Amino acid sequence: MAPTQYYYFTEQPYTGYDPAVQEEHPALRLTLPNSLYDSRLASELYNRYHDEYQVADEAGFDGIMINEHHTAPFCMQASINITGAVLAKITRRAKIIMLGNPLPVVDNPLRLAEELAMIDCISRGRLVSGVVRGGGVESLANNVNPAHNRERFEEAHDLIIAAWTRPGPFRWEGKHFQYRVVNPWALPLQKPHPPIMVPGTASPETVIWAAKHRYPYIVLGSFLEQTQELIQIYRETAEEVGYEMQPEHIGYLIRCFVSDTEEHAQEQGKNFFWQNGALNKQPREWMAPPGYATVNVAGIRRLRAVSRAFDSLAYEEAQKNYQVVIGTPDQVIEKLRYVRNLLGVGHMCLWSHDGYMTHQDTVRSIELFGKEVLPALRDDA
Amino acid sequence: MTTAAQAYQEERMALADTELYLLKGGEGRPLLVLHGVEGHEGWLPFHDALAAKATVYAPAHPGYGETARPEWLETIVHQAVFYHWFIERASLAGLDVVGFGIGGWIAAQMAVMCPQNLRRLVLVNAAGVRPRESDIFDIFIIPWKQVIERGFYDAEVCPEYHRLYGGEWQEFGGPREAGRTMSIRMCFRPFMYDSSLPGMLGKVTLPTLVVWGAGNHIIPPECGRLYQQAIPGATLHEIERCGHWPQFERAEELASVIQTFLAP
Repeated sequence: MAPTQYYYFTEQPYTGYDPAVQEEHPALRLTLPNSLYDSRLASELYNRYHDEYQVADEAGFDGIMINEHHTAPFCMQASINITGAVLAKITRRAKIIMLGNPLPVVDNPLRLAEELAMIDCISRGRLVSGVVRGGGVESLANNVNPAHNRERFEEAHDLIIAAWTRPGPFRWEGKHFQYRVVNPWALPLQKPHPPIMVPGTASPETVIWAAKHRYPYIVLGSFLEQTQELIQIYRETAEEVGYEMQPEHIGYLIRCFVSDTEEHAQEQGKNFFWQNGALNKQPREWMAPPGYATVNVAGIRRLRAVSRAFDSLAYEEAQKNYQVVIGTPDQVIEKLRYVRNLLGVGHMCLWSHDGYMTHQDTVRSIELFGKEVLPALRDDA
Repeated sequence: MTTAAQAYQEERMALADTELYLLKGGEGRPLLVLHGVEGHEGWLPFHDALAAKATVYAPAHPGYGETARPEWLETIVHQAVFYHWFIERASLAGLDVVGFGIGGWIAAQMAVMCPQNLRRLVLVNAAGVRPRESDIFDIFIIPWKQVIERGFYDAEVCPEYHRLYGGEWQEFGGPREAGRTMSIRMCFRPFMYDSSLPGMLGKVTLPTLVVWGAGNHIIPPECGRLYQQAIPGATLHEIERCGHWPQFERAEELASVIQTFLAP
């Protein structure tokens, strides 16, 4: 059994706007006016976040998890492949864990296959190529029909795998994508192709799809109870397909900040709610526009999309139910160990920076992970 | 006096890999009534008014309500093919067509495609044509309740609004979700128009009436003028103090305007 892998993650938030304006807008994505965006600050932030990735690489994280969102201040990565390409050059050891490319919103998946192959080659085989459907709002942001979301996800996936593994040239005549010639002269270093992972928050459809493909499914910070339900769906699907689910098939993303003192950690941990806990503030129907999911699933998604305002009580509760893990190394080791063992996950994505955390505090947290937290967790194996 | 409940019957017809659900009522020349974005809302007072002088066929389009979507049917053009198929199967060639919103777009496409099956054409607040001075209001990024309210000139005073939408509001799921899904499937991009349609409409030789709510805040009245300009000989009738749904807000007046136009 492979030992649990630990990955560093930040959303790369754009923190340069005054959160007071949030109240004036119905959403913190898609329609929040980009007149609030300062490119000079963004330039500084991008470079700072890249510096921190280097620290995480040197500190001993097994991987660096990156993601992609559109028209959203909470995540500056409009292209996961650009961050991936940067990581390929500025890091040496850590895997590049993409969670993931939103396949349905891409109009040219063949180019995606080429870019990912380049990243795998340039990084000398460190790419983990996650794929996602993207929330409904990503379909709106990229103007791709939500009713085609799942079909495009599956077809783009099949095409990318074919482009990587099937000797070209060959034709592709699909429902959503057609190519006269598939014959990329950029092929991944890892054979038969880079590992695939699939993150998600709630959709059973996606868990089942991942399990059928034997792709690791990473639960993105859902409540532990709900996460256990999703893992159970994976386990049952695996049994139906004819294999036994292992820890390496499942992962969990958890907010976790470490500091030298509990007091400082507690203060800094509030940054995980820097948008007043409103990271996903949006009209609920953006999460799942008509046609995005089956009607039943849509109901579930929309129900769970309801968020609550952030206050001291919510902060306390978030720590009590392990939505956020904050403290000194000893404190977080105990909690992370509990969560890992409870869920039985082989991948732990540690969301270790957010909001207004300073570079200094972020680096210190990463260092403490490297020196104390990760070694202790690894010793359990 | 016949009540609305007795004035129509339900029919189902196996057709084109699905089963078409429709309501039929009245007597006289056949009149096909094509619904709009959310789907079939049952037998309306508006249907009843029309049924005084015509045999009204009010189907649920494939993908809406009780008519399942055949796998092949993805676009407005496909809907138009489907309804010509229906006309031919039911031996109704020479019927009149009234279409609302998306249903109007289907009707216009039917007229382009095979005018021989049709006699006269009525387009009510029809989608399908891109406005130049403004945009068709994006109904897919605001809550549906707001879409519905925006569709009325004055929802509060409209009994049909309260009858249809006044109960427990179901934002997601429910009987209208299939219709919303089919609409988004067919009309998401480009949003609610076909840039080739005005050019093709030049081919339409049917007598055509275009009806628009002067207070339509979903599809701007400019689109009514564009339809009129595109279809040779078409007439435009604007209804004052009326929004996107005259069939709910001004049923009697709308039925009367249509009946006058359709009268032999």
